[in-house]
Amino acid sequence: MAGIALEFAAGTLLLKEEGAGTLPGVFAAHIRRDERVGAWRAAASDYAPIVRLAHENRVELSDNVRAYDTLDLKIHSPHTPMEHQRDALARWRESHGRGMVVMPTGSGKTYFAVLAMAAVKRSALVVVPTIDLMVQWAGVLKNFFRTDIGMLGGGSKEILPLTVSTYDSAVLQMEFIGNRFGLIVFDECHHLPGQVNRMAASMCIAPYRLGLTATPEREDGGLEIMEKLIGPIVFQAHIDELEGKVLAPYVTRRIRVNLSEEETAEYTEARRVYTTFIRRHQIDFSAPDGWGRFIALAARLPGGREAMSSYLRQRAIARCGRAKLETVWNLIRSNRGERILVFTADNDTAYRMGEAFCLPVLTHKTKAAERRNFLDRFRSGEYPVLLTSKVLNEGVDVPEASIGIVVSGSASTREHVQRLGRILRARDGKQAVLFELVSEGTSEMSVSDRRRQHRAYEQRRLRFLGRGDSKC
Amino acid sequence: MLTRDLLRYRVSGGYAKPSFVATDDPALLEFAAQLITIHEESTDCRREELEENIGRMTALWKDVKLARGLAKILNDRCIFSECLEQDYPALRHELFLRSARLIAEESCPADPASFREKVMEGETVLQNEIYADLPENERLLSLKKTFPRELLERYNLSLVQSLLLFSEGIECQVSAEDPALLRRLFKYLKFFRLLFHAELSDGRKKGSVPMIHLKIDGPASILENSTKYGLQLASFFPAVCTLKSWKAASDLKLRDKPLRLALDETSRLVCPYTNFGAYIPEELKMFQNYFNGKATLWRLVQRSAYLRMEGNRLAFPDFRFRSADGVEFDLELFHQWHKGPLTERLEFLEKHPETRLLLGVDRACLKGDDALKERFSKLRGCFLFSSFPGVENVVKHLEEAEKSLK
Repeated sequence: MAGIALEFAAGTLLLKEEGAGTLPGVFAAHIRRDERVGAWRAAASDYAPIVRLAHENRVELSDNVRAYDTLDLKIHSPHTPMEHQRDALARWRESHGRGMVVMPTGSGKTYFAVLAMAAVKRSALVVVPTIDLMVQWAGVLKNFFRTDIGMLGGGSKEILPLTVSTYDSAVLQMEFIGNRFGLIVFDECHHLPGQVNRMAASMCIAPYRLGLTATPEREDGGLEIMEKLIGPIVFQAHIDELEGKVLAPYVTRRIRVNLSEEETAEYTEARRVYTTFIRRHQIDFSAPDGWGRFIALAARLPGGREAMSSYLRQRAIARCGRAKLETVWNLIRSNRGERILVFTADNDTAYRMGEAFCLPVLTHKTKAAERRNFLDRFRSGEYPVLLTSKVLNEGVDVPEASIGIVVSGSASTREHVQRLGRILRARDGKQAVLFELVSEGTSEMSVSDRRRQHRAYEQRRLRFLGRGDSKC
Repeated sequence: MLTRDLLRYRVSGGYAKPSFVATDDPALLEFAAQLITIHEESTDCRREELEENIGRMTALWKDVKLARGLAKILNDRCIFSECLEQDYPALRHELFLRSARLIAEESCPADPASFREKVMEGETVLQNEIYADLPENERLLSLKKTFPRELLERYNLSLVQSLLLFSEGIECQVSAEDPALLRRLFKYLKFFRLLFHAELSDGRKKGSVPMIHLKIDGPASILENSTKYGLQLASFFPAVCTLKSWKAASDLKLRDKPLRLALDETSRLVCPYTNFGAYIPEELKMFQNYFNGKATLWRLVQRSAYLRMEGNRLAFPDFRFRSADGVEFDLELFHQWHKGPLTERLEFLEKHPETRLLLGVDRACLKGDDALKERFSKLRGCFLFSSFPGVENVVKHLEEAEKSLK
C-alpha cells in the first residue's frame, strides 16, 4: 500500500511518497513541490489537516514529525471557573481546540488558558509580546501546575514541556522547536498578523491553537490571518457585559485643560508653521504614505526642518502643557490611598513628570531588575503611583490599580481600551476611574474622540451624558 | 545596518536602485573624516551629547539622510559604558519611598515644586537628575578604528544589506573560478541556515569560466513569500561581494510594494570585514588542528569547491582527505537544520554507491526519524556525531571506506 513519510524540516513539513499515486492528490491544497530538496513541502501549521486527510483517505502515514508529549497536567488549588470561562472553554473545545477567545483585561484570560492546557494535556508553548509578560505567565503556570516552566527570551533559553516565549524569540527558534508542542497559545494575539510574527504560528505544528485578546479589531485584514493561523473567534465577552460581576465597576472622565496664554501663543505659531508646510506641499496625513512623505520632504526642502521642529513643539505642548502637569498632580493628591497608573504617549513626557513629581517611571528603557522592583512595589503599595508610556498598555497584571490617568496617547482605540483594562480587575469595593486629560483647543480633542469609539466608552457616554467631560 | 528611515534609493521601472556614494569623492571623504574625528575626540562624552553634536553636523550637510546614515554606521561602531559610578536604582528606591510617604500625608504640598523640594531634602546625587543612568547618559569609551573611505564603503554595503532585510530571497550568479572563495560562500550559506538551489549555468562558451546559478532563500519561502529570512540574507550578502565575478537579484517588499534589486560586481561593493571571507568557525579550526596532529595516515587536502550531482545540481562537501596511498574522500557534514539536503544526498548515494563521499550527521538531525536512520545505517561511509565529529571517528570511517575500495 502506498503511503507518505512526514518529517519536520526547519519550521516546515516535508512529505515524501513511499509508493506511487498518493501525492499531491488529496494533499494538493497544502503542499508544494520543493526542487531544492526534491520533496513536497507544507507549512508546519498544516500538520493537523494533513494527518487528518491521510486518515480519511486511508493513506499510510509514517509520522516522524510529532515530538511533543501527552502530559499529566493537574491544576493545583484550582479556582471554580467563572461562567464566561466555562462557556469559552466549551466553545473552544467544540471548535476542535482551535480558535480565538476575546475577553477584556482582568476577566481571567490567563486562568482560562490554564484550563485549556489542563483540558488538552499536551506540551504547550505560550507566546507573549513582552519579557514582563513572559515572566508573569511562567510564574502563573508554575503556581497552577507545580512544574518547572521553560522560558525563551530576555536571555533565557530553556525549552520544557510547558514553555513561555516572547514573539521575537518564538520566530527565531520555531525552526528548531516547532514540532515540540501540541498546544500553542498566543497571548495578545492581535500581535500575530505582522509579516514576521505570523511565522511563529505557521512554523509550529501544534494541532491545538488558542488566541487570547481583548482587542481583536484590526483595520488591515489581520483578523483573517489570525483566523487562518489560529482559528475563528469562538467566544467573545465585552467589558460592559462583565462589569460589576467579573470586572470592577468603572467610570471614565474626560478632563479638558486649558493651555496657558503663553503656551497657546506658542502652540498656535508652531501649528501655523507646520500646517503651512503641509498645505504647500499637499501632504495628506490620512494617506498611507502621508507621514513618510512629511519626513522625507521635511529633510529635503527649504523650511522643512523648521516645519518638523514646529510639529514636534506643538505636539509636546498639547501632550503635556503646564496645566496638564498641575491637573495630574491634583489628581494624584486627591486620590491618595489609591493605586494610580499614569499613561503618557511618549517617554519624554513620562520622564519629565517623573522628575517633576519624584515618581517611578517605567518605560522600555527601564532595566529588567528595576522594572520588576517597580511593579512589585506598586502592587504592594510601597509606591502608590507609577508613570509609564506604553509598556504597561497590555498584559502586565496590576490588579491593585484603581485609578488610571491618560495624560496623552494616540488615536488608537486598542491602546485606549487596553489602558482602561489595566484598572478593571475586580477587588472588593473597588470603583475604577479612568481620567483622560485633553488640551482644549488643540488637535488632541479630535484624537480623543477617535480613540473613544468603542463600546466600552459608548456605554459610558450614555450613562454619564453631560457629566463625562469636566473642565479644569 | 541602516534603519528604514535612513534608506536612500530611488525606484525606476519596478527596480530599487540604492543611492550609492562615490567612495573617492573628496568632499564626502572630508565629511567622513570629520565625523570620525568628532567620534574619536569624544571619548568619555555622554551618548546624548555626542548625538546632539553629530546631529548639528549632519543637519548642515547637503544630504541630511546620507549624513545621518554615515553617523549611524559610526554609532554602531562605538562602544559605550554604562553609568556605573553610582547605584542609581538603590538611590531612586529611597527617593520614591520618601515621595510615597509625603504623598500619603495630608500636608502634601499642593505645589509640585515645593513637593519636589521637600522630597529632595538632603539628596545629592539625584538632585539634578533622577534618571541619570538612562542609555542617553552612557559614555563613549571608544570607536572601532575606521578610515574615511572604509566608512563610505561600509555605507554602500549597508544600503544593500538594509534593503535585503525586506528581501524574500536572492538569486545569484557566481563564477566557479576560485574554489576557495566558493567554499567560503557555501560555508556561509550553511552558517546562516539558508537553503539554496545550485546549478551550473548552461550554454557557456568553450573556454569561458563556468558560472553557478544560485537561488537562495529560507525553507518556508516556497510556501509563503516572507521577509522572515531577510536578516539572514542580509548578513550573508557580504560573502557574495568577496567574489570576483557575481550578479545578484532579489525581490523586496518595501511598505507592501514589490520591488526588485539587481546588482553585480560593477556596483563596486566592498566587503569591509577583512576576516569575513577567511572566517573559520571555531569547531572547524579545532577539528583541523586535531586531525593534523592525530591522524598519521591521512591528511586534509585542498579540494575543488563542489561535487556534481545528478543533472546540473551541486554538493559542497566540507573536507577532503587523502590517504598515504593517494586515495581521496570527501566528507560532508549535516547538522540539525540540514535534514532536507541529507535526504537528497542519501538518495544520490543509494543510486551512486561508487561516489567517494562520506556523510557525517548530527544525531539531532535524525532524532525520531527511524526510516531515515535505517536508510542511513545501510550506506557505507555514513556515521553519526553529536555537535561535531571526533577525529578518531572520521579516521575509522575513512579507513573502512578505503578498505571497501580494495
